[in-house]
Amino acid sequence: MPNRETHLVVVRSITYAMKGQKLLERYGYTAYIERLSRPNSQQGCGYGVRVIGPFEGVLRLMELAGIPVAEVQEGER
Amino acid sequence: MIYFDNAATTFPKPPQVREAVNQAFTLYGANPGRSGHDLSVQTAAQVYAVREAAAEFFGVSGPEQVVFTQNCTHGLNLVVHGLLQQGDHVVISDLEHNSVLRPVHTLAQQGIITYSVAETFPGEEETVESFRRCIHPNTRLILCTHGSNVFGWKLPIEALARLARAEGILMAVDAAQTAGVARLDLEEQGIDFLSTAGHKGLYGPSGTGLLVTRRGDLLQPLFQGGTGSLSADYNQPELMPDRLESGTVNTMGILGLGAGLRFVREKGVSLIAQEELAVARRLQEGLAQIPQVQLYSPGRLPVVSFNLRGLHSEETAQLLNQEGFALRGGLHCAPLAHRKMGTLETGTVRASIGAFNTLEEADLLVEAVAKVAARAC
Repeated sequence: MPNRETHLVVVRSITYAMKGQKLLERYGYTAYIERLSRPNSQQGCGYGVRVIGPFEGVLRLMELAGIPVAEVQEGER
Repeated sequence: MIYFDNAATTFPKPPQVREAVNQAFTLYGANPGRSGHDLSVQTAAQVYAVREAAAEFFGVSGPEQVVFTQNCTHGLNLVVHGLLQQGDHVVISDLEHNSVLRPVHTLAQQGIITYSVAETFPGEEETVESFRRCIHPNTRLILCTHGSNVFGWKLPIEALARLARAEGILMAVDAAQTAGVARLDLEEQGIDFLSTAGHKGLYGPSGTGLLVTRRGDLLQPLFQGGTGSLSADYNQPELMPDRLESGTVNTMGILGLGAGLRFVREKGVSLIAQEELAVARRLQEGLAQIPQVQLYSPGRLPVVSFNLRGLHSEETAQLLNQEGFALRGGLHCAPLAHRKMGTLETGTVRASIGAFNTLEEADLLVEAVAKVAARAC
């Protein structure tokens, strides 16, 4: 099975993670909530929205919905 | 026991509320927003769904504008203590509950703020003009009840919000008695802060409340602590709702409140109000036929206040309790409203209607009041 591109959109709270996930699902993205497994020492523990597959447009949608994004981590699965 | 004390807390709760609380205990027992395991995330999703439903119900654009509180008083304190600063002035009404009066009065006693009490009138224009006259150059906030918990009068909050906007001040509403029986839409009505109970007209469990606000950024938190977010930072997070929601939330209560909200939305606010007002009118008409009854001005909310001549309201409430009816006597934590009506000495007996009261129950209460009056007056 080929590797699929994934991105973890790190947000600042569980509420924003939930809001982001629901928003992206409404727009046809595959997204789910993930606890940060390696949080940075400045931010501490938190949540992100894992987006599997196409990522284009995700950050723009989140910005329009007023969801502050802390960082984006790229990966494969 | 026939329950007519729904303005204190609604009872019974709809079966779906009890079921949701039970589900919370059996299926969603993890701490939401604290861990990464499936049960925590599933519980957080359930809590988020209630936040989302409340945001839609109260007409704000985002679920992050909904703060879960313990009750309406908690939300009002978040506004009063979180917003007001040295030298600020506040306008409240002469119908306020102690949940507004006491936090405002406390800050005034401490020399931090000043406040004015605006007289209210049956007519909208007169009331708005009365509030306008109370506004000073340092007025920061109009904070008023949407509806009196004692006499059922409603205040023209939309017109007062327009006044606040025109004067460049903020508008906060105590919707303890109106959420669930009156339309509330923060964006349309221009309200900056709305606090309400979850356990009254929204039919959630006690220990629940909501502060809905478009201006959470202006409120300094009363509590600081764990939020499950930005945990390396020693400072309280700025983001809503975490900013105002430190510590573990009341998951069981919140999920019950979610079911209560669904009950209200499915039945419809206007139908609930219409049915409750019909019971209130039936009660008023029946009580008006009893010579010993002193009825107070009927309002636009399903609340009927009365006294039996010669008896203290607490005595009447006790006698009605012996007849199997749950009503509340006394001052209902609203001394301003009783002062206005001249009932500070005796209080009033309050029958407050809920979604499960019937016309037949109103008739039975009238019979009981007539019996008590014949015996005791």
